[in-house]
Amino acid sequence: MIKFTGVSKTYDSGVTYALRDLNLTVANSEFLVLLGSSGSGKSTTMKMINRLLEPSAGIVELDGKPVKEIDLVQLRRSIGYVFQGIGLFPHMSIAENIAIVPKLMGWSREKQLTRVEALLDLISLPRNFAERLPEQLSGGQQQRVGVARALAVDPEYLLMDEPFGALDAVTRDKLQLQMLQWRKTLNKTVIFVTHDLFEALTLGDRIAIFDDGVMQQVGTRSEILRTPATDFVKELFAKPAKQLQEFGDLV
Amino acid sequence: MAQQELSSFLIERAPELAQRTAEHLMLASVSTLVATIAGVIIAIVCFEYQKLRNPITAAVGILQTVPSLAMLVFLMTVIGKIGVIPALAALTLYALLPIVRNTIIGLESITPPTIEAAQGIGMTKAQQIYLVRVPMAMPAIVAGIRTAAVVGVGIATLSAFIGAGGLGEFINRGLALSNTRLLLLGAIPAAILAVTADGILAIAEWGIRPARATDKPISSGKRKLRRTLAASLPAVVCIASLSFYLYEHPITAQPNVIRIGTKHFTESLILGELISQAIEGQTKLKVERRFDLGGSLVCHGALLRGDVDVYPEYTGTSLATILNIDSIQDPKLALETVAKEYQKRFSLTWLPTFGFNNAWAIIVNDKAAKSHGWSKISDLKPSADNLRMGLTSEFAERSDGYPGLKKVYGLNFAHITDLDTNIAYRALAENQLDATAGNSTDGRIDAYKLKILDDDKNFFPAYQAAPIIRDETLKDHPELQEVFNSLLDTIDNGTMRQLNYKVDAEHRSPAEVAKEFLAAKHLNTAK
Repeated sequence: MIKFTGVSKTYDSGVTYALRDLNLTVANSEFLVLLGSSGSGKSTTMKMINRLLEPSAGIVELDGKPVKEIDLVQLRRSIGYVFQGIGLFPHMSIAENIAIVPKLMGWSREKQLTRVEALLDLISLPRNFAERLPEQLSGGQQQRVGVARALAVDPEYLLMDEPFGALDAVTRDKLQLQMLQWRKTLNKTVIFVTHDLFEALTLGDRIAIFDDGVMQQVGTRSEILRTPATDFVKELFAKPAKQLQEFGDLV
Repeated sequence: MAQQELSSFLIERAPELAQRTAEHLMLASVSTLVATIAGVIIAIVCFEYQKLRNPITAAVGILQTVPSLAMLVFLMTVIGKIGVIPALAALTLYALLPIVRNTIIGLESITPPTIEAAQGIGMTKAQQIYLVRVPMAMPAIVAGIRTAAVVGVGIATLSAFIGAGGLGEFINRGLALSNTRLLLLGAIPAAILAVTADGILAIAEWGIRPARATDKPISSGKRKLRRTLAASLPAVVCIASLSFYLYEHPITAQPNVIRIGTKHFTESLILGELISQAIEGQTKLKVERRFDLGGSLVCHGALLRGDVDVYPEYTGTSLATILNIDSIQDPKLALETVAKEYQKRFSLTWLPTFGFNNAWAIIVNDKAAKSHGWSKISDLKPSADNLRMGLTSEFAERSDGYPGLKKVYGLNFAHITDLDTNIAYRALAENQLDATAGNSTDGRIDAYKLKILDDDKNFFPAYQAAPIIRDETLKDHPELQEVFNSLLDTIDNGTMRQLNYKVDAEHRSPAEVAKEFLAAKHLNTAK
């Protein structure tokens, strides 16, 4: 369980807020999507979970324990992290990239190798890709490796910061579908950041909508679509709905 | 003058060339290795503590601007030793700048996503540096090491001045003896060595660089093997040259080895050879030649610290530069003074003098002297206001030079020109000049058919040459006293001029000239 209580983040001592007074609880095994445009506070929220950012006020708790009190390295190793920049290490092979956290945690060589093969199977990449370098893979393949790396030590939590943002539409669709499959098999708590409305609707058990540092609403997709809490949320969905309507009329 | 055939010159020098090359390689590679380790650590510290970055890079930059020779002599004084240690220290300091700078640039060039990934998966600061930043910065670091190594090979030529050996030995001797061949014997291999060092590091760089997409995919096992082999290549060179050096120069002081030092000009080198060969011939002791040291202060320091046991010095030089006592004209008194002071202040002994007195001298054309009836300096006085005098700027300024001479002899020359000694001698020979000042034992005086005028008013201070020895050495090896006694008064001014001439004008080696001299006087074997 992840719990935000009165969390704010400001970089200029309170003149402006990147995130203001957030109260949010994420249940275990939940897939929560944080939706918003850039600068809305969604990434800020996520990065405070693994302490890439520290809150200016409020408390972030993980399984009832303030993250501030958890050893930083331990915390990060227990949370899988995937992000848009992919961030595979260019000087390491695919196998070395996937096995980096196990290696840091002192796993034996054989155990690392077995894990790499299992993960390559999971992300549907041939096993002989293990010796390749990140540059030799396509963007979609690289991002799958990114997911595999995040899953390497089988963490309970997975943070995904616009993981498919830089991919083309077709690849993104494929990965989204695969994401849904992984969810079923892996049973993890996932926090997923995106600015793509449809991605949010496809993947999220619940969706939290952010604008200008304030969380506007959090709820299941039907709750949000039926009873938008603010004008912002209403308009956010009204426009694509209208576009869909027009598109339907054309067809 | 006829020179030795090139081939026999090379054959004769080959063993020494090999030894000097190995020494040179050792100096350059060990200093680069130390600088690499230190430089990368310094760069990481700068990177971690940005506040330190500017002061440290500035300090390292300033080190680079210190003239190399000054740095060598300074470190020699600080460390209190001549030879390899201060040379390595100086070379290491010079090598730091390119390595530190390049490493910092390399560490900083890692893109934010890569770093975010490293943080996000829970790498500690240290792991981020050695697992991500350093491996990715490797090309920049190696480029810095290559620059440092090439510069190091170049600067290592100067370490011969403080007795560290290397190819600079040949260059120094070449300069001291105006012998182009010797000079090139040092300079050409040094240049080749610089290119080779760069090449070896290029191979290492190719081996350890991060793999690229265009590379043929190879298994990580093979990649690791290639990496290990390539990276160990410079290490192998470094270790090989170091072990060769240690084999040649054991760290533990060898018993029964007398170390002889000299300064780096012809006469000092000849005297050094005379002393060395006399010891070798007359006793069972071995001699280690630590010639071509950078001047009186370097030699004196080396003697005090026991880096050399014996070196030849001049009474006048000792009074002026070591003892800071006013110059003494009377040779006997000068010798007594230095001997007494050295014993009292330094526990060093002045050994029997060689006999000659390399004092300043007024030199004229021999023919002109005959026709004008000049034999002593006073003879110049009547015609001085018609005479053209050529002086080196040193002589023109020193109080024991022209200003004093003018006062004591009442000489007022019509024209005074600042000239280099070599040019002055030629001008004298061609009658474009009437008189000049020079050293009494200069070999060129006879070569140009010039004449030294008597210092009839005893104006010039005495410069008798004699070996100085450490008291300890003399106590441990009393048989040396006899060797030096046998050399007493064996060389007068005329003889010394001849010996200098053979080296300077005939381009023969000081060793050969000394050998010939000792053989003729039967000083090369025990009596």
